[in-house]
Amino acid sequence: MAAHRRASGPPTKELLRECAHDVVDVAEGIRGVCARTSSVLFAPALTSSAHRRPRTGLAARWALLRALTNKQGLGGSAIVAPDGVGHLLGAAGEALGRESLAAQVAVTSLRLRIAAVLLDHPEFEHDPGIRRLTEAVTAARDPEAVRALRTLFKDQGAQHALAGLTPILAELLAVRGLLDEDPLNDETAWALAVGRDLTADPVTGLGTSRLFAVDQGEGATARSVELSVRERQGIADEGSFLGFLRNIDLLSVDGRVLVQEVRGPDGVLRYVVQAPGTAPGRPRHDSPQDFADAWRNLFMADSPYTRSVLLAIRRHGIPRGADLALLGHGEGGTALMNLAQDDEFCRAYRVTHVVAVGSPVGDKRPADPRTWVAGITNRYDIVPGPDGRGAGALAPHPNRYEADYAGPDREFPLCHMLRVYIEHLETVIPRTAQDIDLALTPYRGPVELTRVYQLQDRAHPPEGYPFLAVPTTSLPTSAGPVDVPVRYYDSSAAHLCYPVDTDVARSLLPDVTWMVPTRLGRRALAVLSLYEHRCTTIGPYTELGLSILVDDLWRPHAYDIAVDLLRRVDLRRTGRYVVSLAVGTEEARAVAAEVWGQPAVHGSAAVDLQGRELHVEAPELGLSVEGGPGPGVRCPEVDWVLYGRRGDSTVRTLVRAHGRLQLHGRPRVRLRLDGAHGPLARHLQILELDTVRPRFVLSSRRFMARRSAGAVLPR
Amino acid sequence: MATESRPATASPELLAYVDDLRVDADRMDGYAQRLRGAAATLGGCAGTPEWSGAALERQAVACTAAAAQLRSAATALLAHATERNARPRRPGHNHEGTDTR
Repeated sequence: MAAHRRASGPPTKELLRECAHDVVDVAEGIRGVCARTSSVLFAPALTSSAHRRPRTGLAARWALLRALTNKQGLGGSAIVAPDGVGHLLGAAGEALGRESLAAQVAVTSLRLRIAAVLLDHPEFEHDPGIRRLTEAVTAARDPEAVRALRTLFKDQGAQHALAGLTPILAELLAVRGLLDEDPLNDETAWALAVGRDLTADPVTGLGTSRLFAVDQGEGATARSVELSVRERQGIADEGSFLGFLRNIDLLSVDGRVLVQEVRGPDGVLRYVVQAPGTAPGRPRHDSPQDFADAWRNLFMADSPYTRSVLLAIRRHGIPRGADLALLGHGEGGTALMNLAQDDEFCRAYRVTHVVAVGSPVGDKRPADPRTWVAGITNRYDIVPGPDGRGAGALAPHPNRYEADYAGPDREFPLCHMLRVYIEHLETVIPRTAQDIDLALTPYRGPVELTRVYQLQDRAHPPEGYPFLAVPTTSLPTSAGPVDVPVRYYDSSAAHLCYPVDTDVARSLLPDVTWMVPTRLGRRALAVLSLYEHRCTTIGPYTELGLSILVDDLWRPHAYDIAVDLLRRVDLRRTGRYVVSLAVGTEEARAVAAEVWGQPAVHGSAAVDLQGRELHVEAPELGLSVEGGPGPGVRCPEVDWVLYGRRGDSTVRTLVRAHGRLQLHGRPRVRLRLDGAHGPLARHLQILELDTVRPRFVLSSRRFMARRSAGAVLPR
Repeated sequence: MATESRPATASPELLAYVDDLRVDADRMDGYAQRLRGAAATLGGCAGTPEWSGAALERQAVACTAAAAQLRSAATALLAHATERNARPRRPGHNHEGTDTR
C-alpha cells in the first residue's frame, strides 16, 4: 500500500507508528468493553432476576443485546464469550458479516503500521507478505477487510510470508488476537505487541525449571556434525571478535551452532558459543508452524532455538564453572541473551561476555551482574527494534556496551545480514570492533577445538517435507558455496508460451547443427517464464527467463515432444534451451551461470503472480507484463529439463516441481518492451513477443521445486 | 450524569453492573476522542494515507453511538434493578429477601 502524500509537513513515520499503537490500544479497550458488556448480558444475577421480573428484565437484556449487536455501535459480532449462547451469538454475527468495531479499529491500526513501514522501507512494498496483507486490509469496506484478514490468518499457505514480516509482527499478533474468538488466546503475544509486562518475557527470562526441563523427549535437539573441507578452511583458528563473527556467517545457512575452545593469553581454556540467526526468505530449520511461532522464536525465552543452543552446550560437555563467551547474530543473539538471563545456566557456567549483533537485546539483564554485554545494531535494521521497542538505549553500566549506528545500507533485509554488519565493523565503526576485541582479550588465543552442532526440531517435520527432503552436496560458486539441488520452498510461476518463427528461434540457439527448435506444426515454441521465489536455499529472488523448446540433442525425431511428455523427466530428451535470464540477486546469478550454464544477468523486478492478474515490472530490464491469464484448467505437474551452455558443452538441469499447475487457453496477458535493456529484452524483441499475445499460459500460484546440479553433456 | 435514587434493597450486583456500563460508556466516549485525535494528528502531515482520516472518523462515530447505547442499557438495567421496590406487595404474599443473594 502506498502512502499518498497530501500535504507538506514533517515526516510522519513516527506519527504513524504512534497513532497505530494508540489505535490498537483503543481496539483493545473496545474489546474489553464488549467482553464486560457480554458478561453482564449473560450474568446469572440478571438471568434469575429477569425470570422473576420479566417486563423490565427483558427490556434490560434487550438494551444490552442491542448495544452489543448494533451495526452503528460495537458491531454485529461484539458478543465476546468463550462458550455457550454468547459464543454462538458472536459467531453468528461474524457469519452474517457484521464485524465488531474492535476488529475494524484493529485493522485500521494495522493499515497505519504498514504505511509507516513503507515510508521507512519502501522496498517492503514488493514483499509477498506485505502484498498479501495489503490486499486483505484495503478492501472497500472495513468489515470486508476484517473478513479478508481473518481468512489470511487461517491460510496455511500465507504463514511463511507473514512470518517474514518482522517489522510488523507485533501488530499482526495483536490484530490476530483481536480477531480471535477467544479473547484469552495468545495473551503473551498480545502483551508483547502492546509492550506490556509479561510473566515470562524476554526481559526477565523464564524460570529455570521450565527452561531446563525441556530437553527431554520430543522437541529441540542438537547433534554434532562435521564441517565440510571448505568450511573448515574458513573457520578462524585464532580467537578474535571479527573471526568469531565470520565463523557465524559461514554457518548461517542451516541452523548450526559452533562451540570453540580457546586457550587464552593466561593459559586458561575458555569456551566460545557462536549462534547464527536466520535469514529472511530462507527455509527455517525449526519450521515454525505460523507467524506466531516465528515471533516466539524471535523473542521468547523458551523458544526451540534457545533450548537447542542449550542442548548444544550440554552436548559439548563444557565443564561446570568454565568461562563462557556467547556471540550471536539476530535470532542467535536473542537465544544466547535468553541463556545469559537464566539463573541456573549462570550458576552452571561463568558467562563472562555476551555479544549480540543485530539482535533485540534492549535492556535485558544477565543473571550474573558481572557478565559483560555488548549490542551492535544498525539503526535501519528492523529486526533488533520493531517499533522501536527492542533496541532501546541501554542504561549506562560498566558492563554494558552499545553501538547503535546509522549504516550506509538502509534496505532490509540487506541491513540485517551479518556479512553487512562485518563490513561495517571493518569500515564504518572500526573503533567498536577494537573495543569489543579488547573486552574479549581472555578469548584471544589459539583455537584448540572446534565443534559444530546441528539444531533440529523433532516435533515438526522439516520444511518442505517430504518433497524437499533430499540429499545435498555443496558446490563452489563465485558467490560462495551453494548446496545442490537448490530447493524452492515457496514460489509462484507463470510460463507464457508463444509460437514463433522457427528460423528466428533457431538464430537464438547456439551456433551448432545438432540443437534445433522443436517444431509444433510449422512453428517453434518460445517460453517467457516469470518466477517469484519467496523462500529458497539461495535466498528469495525473482527470475525472468526466455527459453526455446529444443529437440533431442543426438537423435531428433518429429513428435519427440509428444512422447517426452509421457515420460518421466529424467528420461526426457527434449527440453528448453535458456536463451537469456535475469535474476534478482547476485547469488542466484552465480548459481544460474556457474552451476546451470545459463546466460544470467543480475536485474531486479517486481513480480506478483498470486493475484487474478499477472504483474511484472522490470524497468531496469526494460520490460513489463500485465494482464489476466484468464480461466484455467488443472493440468498435471510439469517437470522441466533445462539446457544451458558451458564452453563447448551443454549443461542439462532437471527441475522437479510440486504444486498446482493450471493451463490457461485464452490469456489476456501482454508483454511490453520499453526499449532494449540488455540481452533479455533484446531477445524478446527479436522474437517480436511484444506484438502478440501468448497462445497459452501455464501458471502456478504456489509450488515447491528443486533444481539439480547441471549435468555436463559432450555436445 | 443525572442524580438518581437507588433503593437500598436493590440488588447490589445489578447496581454494580449499572456502574460498570456507565464507566464503559464514558470509556467509549474517550476512545472516540482518541480516534479523532489520531485523525487530527495525521491530518496535517505529509505521508499520511488518504483513507486514514475518514476511517478513524467513521470508527469514532461508532464509538460515540456505542457509548449512547451503553448508557441506555445502563438505564434499562437500573430500572430493572430497582423495580421490585416500586411494585406494590400483594397482601399475604411475603417474598421479602428471597431473590436477593
